[in-house]
Amino acid sequence: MNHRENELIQAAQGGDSRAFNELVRLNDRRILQVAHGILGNMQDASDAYQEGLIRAYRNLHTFRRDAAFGTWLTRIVINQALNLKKKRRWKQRFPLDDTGQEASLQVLDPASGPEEILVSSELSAEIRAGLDLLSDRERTVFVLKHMHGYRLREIAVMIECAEGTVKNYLFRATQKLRDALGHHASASGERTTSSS
Amino acid sequence: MNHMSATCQQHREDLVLYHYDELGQAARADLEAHMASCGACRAHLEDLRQLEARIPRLPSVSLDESALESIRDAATLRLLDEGFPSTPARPGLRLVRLKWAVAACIAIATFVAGRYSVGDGVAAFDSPDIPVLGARISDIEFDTESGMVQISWEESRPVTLRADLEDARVQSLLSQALEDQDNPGSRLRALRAMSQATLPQTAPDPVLVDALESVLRTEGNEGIRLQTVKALHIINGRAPLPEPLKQLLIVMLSEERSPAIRLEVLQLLVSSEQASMQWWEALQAARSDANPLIRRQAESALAGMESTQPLEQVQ
Repeated sequence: MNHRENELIQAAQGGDSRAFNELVRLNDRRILQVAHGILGNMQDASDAYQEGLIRAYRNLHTFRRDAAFGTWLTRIVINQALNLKKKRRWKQRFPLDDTGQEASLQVLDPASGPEEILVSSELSAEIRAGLDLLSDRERTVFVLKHMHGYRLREIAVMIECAEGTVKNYLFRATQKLRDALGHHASASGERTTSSS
Repeated sequence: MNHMSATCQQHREDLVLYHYDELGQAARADLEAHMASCGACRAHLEDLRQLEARIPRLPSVSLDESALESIRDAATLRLLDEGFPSTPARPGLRLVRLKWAVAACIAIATFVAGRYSVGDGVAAFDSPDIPVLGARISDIEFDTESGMVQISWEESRPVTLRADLEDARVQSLLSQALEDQDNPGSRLRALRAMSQATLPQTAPDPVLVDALESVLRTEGNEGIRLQTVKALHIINGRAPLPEPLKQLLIVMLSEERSPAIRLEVLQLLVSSEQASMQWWEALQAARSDANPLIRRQAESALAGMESTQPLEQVQ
């Protein structure tokens, strides 16, 4: 934790809303992307993020600086995302269409006016379907490790479990994805085998 | 040799950790020694590398500034609902507040019991004769069922006024709430009530429009500025905007950082604007906005403007 972050945390815990805002802004893009990776759509990611932000604000006095503020906030938002996912089960709510395609530009809730959110999807339908095979925890660990490059010990803090358990989730996630995507690739003749 | 031995099975989890550079030095050396003689494990590692080629090590979504700002605006409003930017309560502070709250309740109950009976209407009442200037407003709500704005404040006793948005007293009280620099919560509640109300049939009180303009000029919080533009839209309806406010909005259309605010400003200007060369130029500039929704709306407004009024007639 750097000196500036320490100062901001101290100020925020003392009631300085600007300091809280600044801390949040330093982390919000990445946290929203993590939530999107877990939930699969930006509307839910935004909801989970907002719920997490409110919880962080209410519990700011409990933050003890034994981790970076960003890690603490990410942990709270991940909890919200996993809770939201349990409630909504996005697989049922947002099925892929008949062609397995989804427009690369999503316009969410087009009737809602200025709060509309435009995001570009970076994943193909095939990969999203592969991720959908993972359990919530496997997917969360895979998103944090593979897509965001966090160390396993950081992920353990974020999802509140032992590092060994994180390793196990990562192992199972890669096995499932390898089987799902590898099988598809072999069937379509895209895959090349290598003995090296 | 591609069959899997018991030793290979033991190495499978290590291979994943090796791939993600999470294996300790000794285990790494051990695994590399094993892979030197094991084709199956080398092939498994190659599978992991293939996986990497399929799923890039990038976030699942890119978020441009306008998308991020829209989410920040929504989050700010949620936080304002939670009492932000007041100090988060600490456990010790909560206890002190609780003691004060209990003491205040006892004091109020004693005062009320000694001075009023329930029949005197101490809780709230509605009277057309109550003066509203200088009121210390404690609460503002919009009742969606009745379409009435309900405003409470302190006179010699608590007063609650319920009336629609066209009521001159309501507009005066809302102006006062907007101008109360020391009470951002009251300002926000006034904006919320206006944003939820239906379009008044009569022209708005110029004092209220001035108060809204003043909020736009002085308020730093983007969530509140967004609510202010929405409130102006409701209050002003399709009436022409006062010139200084129009100028301010045209500047905001190009300079506001939040795309949500720029879009709301554009919609307000579209609904109220009479054709002018300055407005036409502002729309032309909005066609290059970073946000595609704003570009689309500007195109549409320009098309509408040019179809109803030939360009050469725009002054």
